[in-house]
Amino acid sequence: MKRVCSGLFALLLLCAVDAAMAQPGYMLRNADLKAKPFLDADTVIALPEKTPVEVVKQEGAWLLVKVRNQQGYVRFLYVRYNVAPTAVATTATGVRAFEGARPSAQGPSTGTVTATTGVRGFDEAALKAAQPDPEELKRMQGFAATADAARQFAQRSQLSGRTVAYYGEDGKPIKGGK
Amino acid sequence: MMNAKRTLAVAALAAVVLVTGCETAKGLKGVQIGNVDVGQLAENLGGLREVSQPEEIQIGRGVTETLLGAAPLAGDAELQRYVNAVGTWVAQQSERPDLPWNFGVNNSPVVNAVATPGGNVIVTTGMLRLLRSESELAGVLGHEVAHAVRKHHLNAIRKTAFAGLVGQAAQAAAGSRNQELVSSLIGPTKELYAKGLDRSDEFEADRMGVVLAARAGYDPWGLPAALQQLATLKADDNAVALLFKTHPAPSARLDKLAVAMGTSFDSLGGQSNAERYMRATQWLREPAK
Repeated sequence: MKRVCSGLFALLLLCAVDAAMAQPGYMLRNADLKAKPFLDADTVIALPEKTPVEVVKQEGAWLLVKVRNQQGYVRFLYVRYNVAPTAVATTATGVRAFEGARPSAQGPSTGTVTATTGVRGFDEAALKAAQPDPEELKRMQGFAATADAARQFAQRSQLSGRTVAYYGEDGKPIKGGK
Repeated sequence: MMNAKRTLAVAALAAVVLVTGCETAKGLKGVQIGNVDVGQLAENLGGLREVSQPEEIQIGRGVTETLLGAAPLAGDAELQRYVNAVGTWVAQQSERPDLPWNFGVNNSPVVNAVATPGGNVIVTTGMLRLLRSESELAGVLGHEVAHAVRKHHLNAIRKTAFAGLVGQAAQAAAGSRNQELVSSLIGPTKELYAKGLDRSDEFEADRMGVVLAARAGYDPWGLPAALQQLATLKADDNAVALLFKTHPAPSARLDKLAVAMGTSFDSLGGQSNAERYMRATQWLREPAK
């Protein structure tokens, strides 16, 4: 019984994770649902424009989606989402003091106290009222990473630099790019 | 004969402006010689002077001071260093790796990211809260790095005709902080960052941002993924009002990227580092206490 329960619990958890990941969206244009994330993969079904889809995950240029009882891949940019997966700050919840969640760490160069109440948003009104804050610039400069530090960070993260050309609006590579 | 004299007078004035800087240009506003607005001519000439990199950096610092005055940095030093590491690594893939790259996370629920001349980038905690992986962050920062690399803001500031700043920037570049420079940048900063750049600059920064993140080893679909999330937000939402006012609509940006990226990036692969990103930014998603 215990095993069944824990099995059930695991299944429930899986469902919960799946539900949390799946993001509702719709087809921006007519496109084929592919069996694999390749242009020449078999077509599962043709999806007309505006077909609702459940996005399971992104794999590079492709999205794994569920459509009714079918599952397959569509081009990432052929889909638009209905709602964001993370609740984005709006009005009432948005004005909360973000700093409340974590104690304020001091910057390296000054003892500037970061406001914990009355957090101003980076909106047009705040921009209009803004006065230069040289101390805050100094603080920002204190967090800068040197090129060497950035390279070490990349190395630790298995991020290797590679050659990729810039592209023009028409999708053609721009010559002379790095 | 009359025309020759007029030309000579205009040329002489232009020479004066070039030598003395644009404070003179301001004084000449509205002065007409024949059908030539001398003030305008003087401003144009002032604008033609190439801005040196040290001057660009000083102008950028002045602009950044005012933007930080609108919303201060978030207190999380670890997060500040993390964003600097990612951003500086992305910037190293650009044509201007030697700018003094500096990234700041400001404390604001508003979703936005901005660049200033000379290699400064500010991203809001609201934006970090929306993103879900390091490749998305790299794409967003890559977009901002592109603005700085291509001098989009610097050129926009120069177009608004206060090239006299350049003289002050030169002084500041030679010595320490120049109060006059910073003060004279307040107005133009507010105007530019409330109005935004040309749409073509934004589309170009999108295309470059994708490539810079890809060069850095990230999944090139990070920026499109971030734009997909932005596209779900409504323009009248306070959190995105300024971003949407100053940028083309996310769906328009995605449409442009779809054409520019085509299938060229399909087999590139790359890191997304979603877990590390979510750990670094977790507290932003925790409910306020």
